[in-house]
Amino acid sequence: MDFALTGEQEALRDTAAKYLADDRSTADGRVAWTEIADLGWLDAELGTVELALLAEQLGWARSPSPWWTTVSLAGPALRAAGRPVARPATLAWAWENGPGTLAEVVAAARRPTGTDPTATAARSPGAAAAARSLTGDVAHAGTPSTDNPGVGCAVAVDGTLTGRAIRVPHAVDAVDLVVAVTGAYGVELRLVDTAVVRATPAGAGGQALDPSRAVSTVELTGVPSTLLVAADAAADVLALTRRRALALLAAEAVGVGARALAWAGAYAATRTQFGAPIGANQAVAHPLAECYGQVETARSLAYRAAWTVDEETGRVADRAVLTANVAAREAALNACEVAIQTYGGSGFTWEQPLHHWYRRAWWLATFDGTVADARAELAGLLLDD
Amino acid sequence: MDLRDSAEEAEFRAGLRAWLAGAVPVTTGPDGAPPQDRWGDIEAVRSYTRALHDAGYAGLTWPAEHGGRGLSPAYQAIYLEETARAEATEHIGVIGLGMVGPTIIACGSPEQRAWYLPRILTGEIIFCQGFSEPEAGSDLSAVRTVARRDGDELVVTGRKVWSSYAHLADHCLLLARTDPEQRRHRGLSCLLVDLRSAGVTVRPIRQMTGEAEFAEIEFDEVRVPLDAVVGALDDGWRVAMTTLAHERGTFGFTLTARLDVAFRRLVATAKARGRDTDPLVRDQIAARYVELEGLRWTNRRGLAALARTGVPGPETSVIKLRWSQAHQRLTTLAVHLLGGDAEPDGWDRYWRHQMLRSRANTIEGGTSEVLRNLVAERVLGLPRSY
Repeated sequence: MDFALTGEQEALRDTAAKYLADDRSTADGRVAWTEIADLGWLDAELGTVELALLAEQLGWARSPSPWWTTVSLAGPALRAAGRPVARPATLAWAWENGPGTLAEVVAAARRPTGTDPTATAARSPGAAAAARSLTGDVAHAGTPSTDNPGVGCAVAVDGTLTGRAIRVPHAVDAVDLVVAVTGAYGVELRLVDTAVVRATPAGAGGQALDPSRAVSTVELTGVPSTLLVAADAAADVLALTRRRALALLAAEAVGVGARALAWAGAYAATRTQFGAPIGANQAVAHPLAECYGQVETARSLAYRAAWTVDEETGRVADRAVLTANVAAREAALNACEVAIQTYGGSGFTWEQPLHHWYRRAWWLATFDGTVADARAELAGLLLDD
Repeated sequence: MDLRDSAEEAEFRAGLRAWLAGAVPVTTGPDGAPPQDRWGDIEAVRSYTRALHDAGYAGLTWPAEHGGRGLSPAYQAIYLEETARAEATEHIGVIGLGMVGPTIIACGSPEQRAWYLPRILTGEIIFCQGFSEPEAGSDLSAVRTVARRDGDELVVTGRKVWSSYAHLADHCLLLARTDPEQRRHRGLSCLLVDLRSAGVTVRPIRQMTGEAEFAEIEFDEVRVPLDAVVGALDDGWRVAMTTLAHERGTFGFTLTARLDVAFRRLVATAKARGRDTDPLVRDQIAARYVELEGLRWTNRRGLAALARTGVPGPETSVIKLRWSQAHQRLTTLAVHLLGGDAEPDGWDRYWRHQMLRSRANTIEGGTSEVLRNLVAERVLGLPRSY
């Protein structure tokens, strides 16, 4: 057992920190993307631990880059199809009238077309039909897509897609759009060029919770698509996608929390009132000490979750990523709230950058379900067989 | 980064697990609940200690020339995880093995090493720690116990409180002022004192649980040979800090191992009382699990830093703080799960006892307030607040 970063991992992290400290990294999206690619942050050799270290630094910098959606949400499907991960990409999994969370989409992908859960193991159309006829439900047998719930968007016979995807992060930045849709034999993953879709950012005009990671509604009207992962493998790819996304999200939250804490600590050490730095008061210092404990335990869990994504499967891996998510989401939110309080009146101003991190913390805390949802799922893994 | 056991670690773990399966006596209290007091059956603890020593599991991290196994802290961590998993009791000499022994190894004389170390390992002598006093709690440098030089003896007079395991102990590592002219950290010495000496009175302190696992020790003109001083005379602060530093290496694993046992009992209680389907209870159980895992993996991160740099990482400074909070929340949840005013059974009594006992967790071994001060000052770099 050796829970320490390797020299290469530390170097990767330090290079990222240095690069992101430079304003260039946020100035122009296209330039930044080229540089990220040049830095090797899209390389297939990077394991989830390496990606987590990068996500943490991107969280520290509150980067607006679509890197996270590219490597975690779209990456597994693109790689499974033997395609390069090179252009900004994202994933649409939630459709109007369909299941909303990645967890539900993974569950849907574990079922063949139709909704009969007794046919879960069946992967061929013949077996699926047989399983359905056993339960007397023959209405959907062999019927492709349109009249079963699936995930809310079905592939037409000619491979085109029509539907409205909701809450797609970085849809406006992405070139490649991976979509989870219902095919003839179950949920499959397909590729769409974003040039032919219409993405409308939710809460445009400054109303978005975190404008640097806007989510969009994406309208697909008979657009062509290419199969990436067929129904027989989509469930596993989606499960990996979800774990990786959540592991990197936890790491990013650690970066957000650590940054807020660093600001608050520096401010408390220098801001003077009543003739002494405010941090000399335990009422100010102790919440920061608690934050530190929260951020550091979350960091341990986030690194461990990232390692688990590549080394474990099933419930062990799910437990690790959910545990890290609960800890890291709470740590990021709390660190930002304590930092705002530490800054006093100025912490509440638009001018202080804290609210940008607080917005990101909230974005992370509500991605694909709340912290309470994550605990409920975790409880299922702990208490139910 | 590799979070699996190495081949050697896996072999050690498997051997230990097999040994524990045969060596740990099955002890259950009424209604299948765990016994209330870890030290309830003291003879069982003594015989387990002997078996532990015979099997070579006492003093794992002590150097081989001092009777240990010379293993790295990683093995001690595995030992703690596995003994918790088996719900085994502990070696009777917790303070001697974890704190006093390592201090004697680091600072003691050859004679002290030769006499004390083997007896600590076998459990023949049991140490307690005589640091805290009525007027020197968090501020240890305020000790008033005096050890006056008289020829080649020291004459000790004073009072020590909150000595854990003092009800079992026959020896004490005592911090006393040997130079009355000096203030604060200077002029203190660490002494090895036999509690059976004339002039020593041990008075158990009854806690809110009803038990007395701490004691007050009074020293009234107790004569101690000069060669009982550990390290140099008047250099006791450094020695005492060595002792406390040894608490930090794998102490987090000890705490987390106990919390692990408590969590499994919490889940068993929730299921037994049919509360495991209540969404609010499920939410709370998941929250307790997240706290437990946070401690578990932060310990391991700290251990990796210790292995590389010789000092545990700064993140380990929050382990005790967060453990105490987590344990209090866990026992509180358990008591809420039981509920009702029906005739209490073994589980009710067990959890009520655990809940009351856990109130000490945020006080003993460094209060949460002092620990937050340490993090604020030494890790976050904030100005000293006191």
